[in-house]
Amino acid sequence: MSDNIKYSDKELILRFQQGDELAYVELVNRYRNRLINFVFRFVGTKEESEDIVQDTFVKLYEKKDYYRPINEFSTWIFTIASNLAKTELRKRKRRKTSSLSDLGLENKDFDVPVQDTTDEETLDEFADSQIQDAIQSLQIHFRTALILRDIEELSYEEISKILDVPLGTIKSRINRARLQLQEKLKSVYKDRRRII
Amino acid sequence: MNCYEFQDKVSAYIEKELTLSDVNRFENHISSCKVCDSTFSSVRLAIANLQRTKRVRVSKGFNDRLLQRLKNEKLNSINRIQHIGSGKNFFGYQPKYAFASILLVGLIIFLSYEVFPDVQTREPIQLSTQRDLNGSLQAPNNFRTQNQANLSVENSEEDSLQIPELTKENSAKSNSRDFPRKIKLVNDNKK
Repeated sequence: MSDNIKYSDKELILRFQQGDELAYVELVNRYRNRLINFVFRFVGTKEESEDIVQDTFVKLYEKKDYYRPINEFSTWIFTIASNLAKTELRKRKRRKTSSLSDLGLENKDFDVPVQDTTDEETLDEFADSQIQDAIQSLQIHFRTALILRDIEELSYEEISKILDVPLGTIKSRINRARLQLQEKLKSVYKDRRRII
Repeated sequence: MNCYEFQDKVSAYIEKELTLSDVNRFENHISSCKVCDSTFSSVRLAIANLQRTKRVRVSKGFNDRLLQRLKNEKLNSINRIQHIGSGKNFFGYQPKYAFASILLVGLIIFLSYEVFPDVQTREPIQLSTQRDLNGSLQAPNNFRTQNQANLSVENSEEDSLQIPELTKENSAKSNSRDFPRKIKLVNDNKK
């Protein structure tokens, strides 16, 4: 497994199914950042995202034999992560730990940069946090489809498989999510122009 | 194309999934509608911004923590397997609890046979009802014919399964013969 770069995802998971644990480590290395980026956009906090990604890899370890090579490995691992993230959001909703203000843009207190420290990087960070909040304010089924398409850049077919939703519905959801997002981001761009 | 159609097809246009005629209609619309033109630019900007957002990465020591977790999970599963395979288990129960459960179930079955009488020896409800019905058509005791009196004695001594036939036949005969008199007697008694 020293030159494991030549192995595809499918080959790695098959090797792992045969007991090669180095193949598992390689899969973790390949997917950990993609998964945390996806889950973070979904749940909004890095600590929780990291826990969910760890849970995803633990599941991968325990349920490795459930993988069938007819599907892409990426589709399978994103499905696990997506389901765990949704479960986490449901738990959070039940616990009511997140207040309504976390979901909306309007009531959130942002650290607006002061004039002296305002450089391009700070503005980018500010815009990033605004974009993240705009994503969070979308309904969960719009949010998931949008993240998978426009951040993770997966194909419509892959998203359809991951979310187990017909292709036409996925296209419609992504379209509506984009329209909603641009509406929410209009105010961000206006604010940004004002700051500059 | 109108504004609603534009909204439906904006992503398809960006993804280059529209037919040539739809592309022309789409472009004609945004060149003539300022609102849709602005929306179109905003959607493209939003997508570009999503793709440009800073990517989140796992923190240092992620793999170490994961491997530690897996070790713990493995230990837990080994402990579970050892517990199951140690022979101190009887279908998931400890032997003493399994034995106590079996004893309790046996005791309940035994008591249910002892406490409640055997249902097969009991006279069926249907038969007694039938007898009551026949009896209600009979005259009071002091006006009974000898035949009926003998029959009722016989009935009480006979096996319960034979009673309905005898009762039916005999009471039908006597009832048909004595019916007008019985009606009269019943009416007299009421008075």
